[in-house]
Amino acid sequence: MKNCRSRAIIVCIGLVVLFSGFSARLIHLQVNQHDEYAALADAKHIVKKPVYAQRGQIVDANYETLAENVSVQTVYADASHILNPEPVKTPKALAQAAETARIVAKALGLSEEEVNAKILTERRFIILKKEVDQLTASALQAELNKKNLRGIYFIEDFKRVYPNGDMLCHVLGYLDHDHNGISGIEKSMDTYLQQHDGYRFTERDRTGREIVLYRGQERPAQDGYTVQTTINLGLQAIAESELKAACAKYKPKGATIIIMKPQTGAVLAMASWPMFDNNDANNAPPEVTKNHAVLDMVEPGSTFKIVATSAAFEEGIVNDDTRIYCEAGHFSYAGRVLRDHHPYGELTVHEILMKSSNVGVAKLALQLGEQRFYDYVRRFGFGDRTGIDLPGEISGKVNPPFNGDKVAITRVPMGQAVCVTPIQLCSAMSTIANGGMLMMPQVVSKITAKDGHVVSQFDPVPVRRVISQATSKRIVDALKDVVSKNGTAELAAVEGFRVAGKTGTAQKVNPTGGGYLSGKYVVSFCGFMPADNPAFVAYVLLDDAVTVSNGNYGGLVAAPVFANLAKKVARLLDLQPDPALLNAQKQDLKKTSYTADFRDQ
Amino acid sequence: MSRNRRKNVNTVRIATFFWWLMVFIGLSVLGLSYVSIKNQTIAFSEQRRLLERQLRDLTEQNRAFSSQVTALTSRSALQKQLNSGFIKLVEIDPMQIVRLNALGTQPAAFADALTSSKTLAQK
Repeated sequence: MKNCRSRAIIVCIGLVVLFSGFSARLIHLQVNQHDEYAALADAKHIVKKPVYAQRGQIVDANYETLAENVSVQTVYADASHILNPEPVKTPKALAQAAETARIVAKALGLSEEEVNAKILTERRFIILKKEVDQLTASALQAELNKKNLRGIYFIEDFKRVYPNGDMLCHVLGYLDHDHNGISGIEKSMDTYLQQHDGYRFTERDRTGREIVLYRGQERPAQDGYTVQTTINLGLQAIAESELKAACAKYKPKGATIIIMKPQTGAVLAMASWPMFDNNDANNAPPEVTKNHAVLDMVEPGSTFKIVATSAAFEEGIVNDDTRIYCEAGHFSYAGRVLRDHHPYGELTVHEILMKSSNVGVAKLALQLGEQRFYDYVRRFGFGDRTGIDLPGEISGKVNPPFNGDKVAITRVPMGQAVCVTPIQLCSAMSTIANGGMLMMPQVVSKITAKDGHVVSQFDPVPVRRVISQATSKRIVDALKDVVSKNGTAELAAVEGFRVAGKTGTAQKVNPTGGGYLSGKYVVSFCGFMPADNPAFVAYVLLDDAVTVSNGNYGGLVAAPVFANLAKKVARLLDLQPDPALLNAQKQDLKKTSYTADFRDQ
Repeated sequence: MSRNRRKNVNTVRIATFFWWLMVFIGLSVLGLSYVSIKNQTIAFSEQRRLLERQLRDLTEQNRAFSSQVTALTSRSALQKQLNSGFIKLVEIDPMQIVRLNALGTQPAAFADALTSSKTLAQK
């Protein structure tokens, strides 16, 4: 009896010890190692699922889409899932792999043998095709589900699409492989276009499906904002078609056309040649992707004469009646000779601009003095970035007065020994057209969210008053006569409209040896229309155009391009021709043809 | 003898029995309800998952179609079609455009055309 009792006690003690051990182990697991095992369990079941945000759209002034996103999928295979649970290369596994390969190859337009070979490598992450469009991916998924085949998976992605191909390519820019903007508006507005992705903590079952019930913390994706540009796609199409036509005719090394609204500084069109397709930008040579309107500087030539003449009027050094002796086209200064294209005697400032006299404008600058003239050059915005919302803009090159170069005071006023960007020159001409007020050029007008509320509004920015309205009117009057029979840009005239503008013909700077390249010119025309109430300013520049001998001048090459452009722009903007001017021009034409007929007889 | 027999009879406490029975039934119902509701929730969440997937697919498809429409109707696509002769652009003669503003601001040629058309109509 005693033995029996002691045995019972021993058993009890044993059980107590055993269960105490279990309890201790349980407490150790549940309390001491709780965090570790909880983390392990979470890692197995809880996933942080990204919710991808859409990059914002870019639209033109009339909400025409310029850049948008298309959802695409990267299709990949997990060979271990395709070949499992059967041991590798059993007839059943091989048949399954072959069937999967057949369906995938057919849907994605790949070689069946190639896909099959990839699957048989047994790797767990085989990218079959990137950027598969959503419709194809959905159809493939449905087909695989129907046949109960597994092992083919999809990764969500998006592709940036530019529906207009190469249109506005330099302004829009493009993205790199990580969807970061690397040029154009895509870069300058990247912070608006690209907002943040969201996420969601969720649990998955053993087959990898989400258990919606156990969804945890989540943050919604914030889609990118829509960037509205000041570009009018209709005007851009006109600018590009004229640019292409001019390039086909003159085969220049490069060309640029800019159309601006002088009152606001809004860029209505901006085109550079050569062009590239933004949808395939990564295969375009870097030189081609460069926006010459803001990244290139050229010696402007005679278009720059507006600076010295404006300054002379503004400073009261000259008036409408002042006559400047132009040295019969041969002016010696500081041991160097400055020549005019034609020998002129005495000219008014109006005539200096109209005839584009180098000597006349040099003498005006001499009267102003180096410092005052330099101040005006800077006041017109040369030597500074204009502040246009495009990346990488350069400031051009204006030497301070004038680096001890005594000849510079006679060369800079006629657009030599100074380098400017096309946008700077267009902006300076806009200042004249806008009554003397310099406006900051803009290509972006508004940033809006998806729900339509305006996130940011880019109002016109007046930079400074450069010259008075009275001075600006005097320059406009002179520029109107530039586009006349007596001026250098008769071919820039447009039927029914008064055009004001200035031609430019600059010898090309030798980038390697210094000096100028013989027989190579940068020709340009910058003008506005209607002259008395400008609706737009346009700048046309052709770099090293191939023309007949002695024919490479701004007035002969760039001015006709401007005329064609302006005629179409007027039609699109519904500018109405001046009836009196139209009749006068018709009369003039009749007289000319009568004279021509008479001469023929 | 009879006293002993009476002593061996177990009494059944009906009230207590029913009380425990009710507790048991209550707990069972609660448990089953919990399981049933849990199952329903899981079923609904599965439906929600599928619906969300369908919705997402539809949104993506819609976006893909919308993008196709944009590409096919973009300015450059229309220009290509115009160049190939697939579509034709009929230019409107300036004289045929009627502007809804004062006659004084119209070009003379337009005013002439308007006057002549009025005269023609009167005849």
